[in-house]
Amino acid sequence: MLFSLVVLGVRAAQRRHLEDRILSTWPETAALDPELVRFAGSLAAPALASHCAGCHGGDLHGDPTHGAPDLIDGEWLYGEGRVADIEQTISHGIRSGDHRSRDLADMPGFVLQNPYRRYRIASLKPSEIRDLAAFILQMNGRLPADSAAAARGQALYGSALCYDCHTASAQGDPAIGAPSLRRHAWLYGAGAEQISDVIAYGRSGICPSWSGRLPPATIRAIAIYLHVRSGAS
Amino acid sequence: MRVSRWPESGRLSLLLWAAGALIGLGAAGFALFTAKGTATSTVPPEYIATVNQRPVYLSDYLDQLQAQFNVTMETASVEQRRKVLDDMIREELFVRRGLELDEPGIDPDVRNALVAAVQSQIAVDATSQTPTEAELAAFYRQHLERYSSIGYLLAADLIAPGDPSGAKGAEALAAAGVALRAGRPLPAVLAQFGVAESGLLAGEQVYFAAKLHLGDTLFEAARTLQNGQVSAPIRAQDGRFHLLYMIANHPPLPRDFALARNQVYGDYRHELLLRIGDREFKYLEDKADIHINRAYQP
Repeated sequence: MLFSLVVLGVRAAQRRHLEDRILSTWPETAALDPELVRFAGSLAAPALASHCAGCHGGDLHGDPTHGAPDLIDGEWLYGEGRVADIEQTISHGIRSGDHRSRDLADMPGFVLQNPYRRYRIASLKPSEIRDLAAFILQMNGRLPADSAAAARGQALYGSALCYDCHTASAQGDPAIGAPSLRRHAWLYGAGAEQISDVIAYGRSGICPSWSGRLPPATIRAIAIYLHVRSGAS
Repeated sequence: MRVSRWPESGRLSLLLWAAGALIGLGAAGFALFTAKGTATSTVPPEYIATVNQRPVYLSDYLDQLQAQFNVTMETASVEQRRKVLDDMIREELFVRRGLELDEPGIDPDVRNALVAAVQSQIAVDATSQTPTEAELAAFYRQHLERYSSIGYLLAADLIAPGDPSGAKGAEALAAAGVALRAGRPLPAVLAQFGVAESGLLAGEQVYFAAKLHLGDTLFEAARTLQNGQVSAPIRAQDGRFHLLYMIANHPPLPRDFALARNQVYGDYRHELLLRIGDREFKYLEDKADIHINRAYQP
């Protein structure tokens, strides 16, 4: 009995010590420490299963029907996959209402009368949306049925202000969560219909903020775990 | 003869009591004038500092380093670290001082910021209540009209330039309509009957754009036409007769739940947010002691 209590006490103290270490070590450095990485895994796995798997799937590979991204494919919508970037997203969420959440841009719905809630931009005709989708498919090595449409789409890419978020080279901007249009990682599905629908009706995915609802050590642990699993280190 | 030492002993006791009382008063006075609350000097690892026991978060500090100097903790200089930390401590002290000065009570900007902050917190609560797919699907079915595609059409809007508002114009359009219904191609009809496209519709138009360009009367006629159908000559709001020839009409259709899910989730969350906001307001209102001047009772 006494022995069991001593063992439990020692384990609790070890855990507390590791929690302190995982928080007091600089995030990127912690991800290089095998002991902390192991500990991060033990903290992160149950938290991911109970809080994140609902949207991102039990295997963390995401779900295009929800627009929930794959968390371990090494593609990062926000930031560059550093532990601190991931931690910020987990802590404050995306369009979560938390005033530190990632909420600088949305995907406009170009077929709508008022495509964008943040500032005024012009609507597009359905044919123009089809042209843009053809251009995006072509950029990704998929031959569109109508190559003239892809050429028109390329011109539209500039005039419809797509480049403003996705950049002129369509590589995306991780500072505002604008995905690369060249990486084959499609948040809402890779089919021509899904891509056209995203351009036509827009998207603005949401991730809750976990600050205050998960302990800081668990948030840091999840960030380290995802960073390592995604091969970013 | 034994001499009693009681008087000396009593005096000593009194002196000790007095000394104790003085030390106690001194300690109390010192504590009173240098009070900092129940303080602990230990800074938890998730904080970079504490200011009057209020945390300054390490994550905020790292963000600030990045935002202000575009550096990480590893690459920041000592001066950069000190500057950011000093700024954050200064901010915390000024925020607390602002509360002591009752800035929320007097400054409209501060009040607005606080209201927005409370509303944001409500949004955070709403976001944390992730709905099940069944709940979202039920919401989608309840509000199916919101999740329709945008209708669009490709049509020719013809006028008779020679007499756009008169009887001759109307007759020319009627004759053109007969030819179109008989299956004659549009360019041939334009050439034969001296009618022309009005220019109001250039290519494919979504319904709201078509309505804007055509006006209510013509649009109402246009949206009911099937592919290949031709309207009768219609006198529109511009006073001219128009003939509508529908090439392709795509009326709004319900979008699949899978495609509309993002919008459904946004709307669901918005309504939840309103409900939580109302509940919060009701709760605060019930708890509050509010009196309204009878003279101004609405």
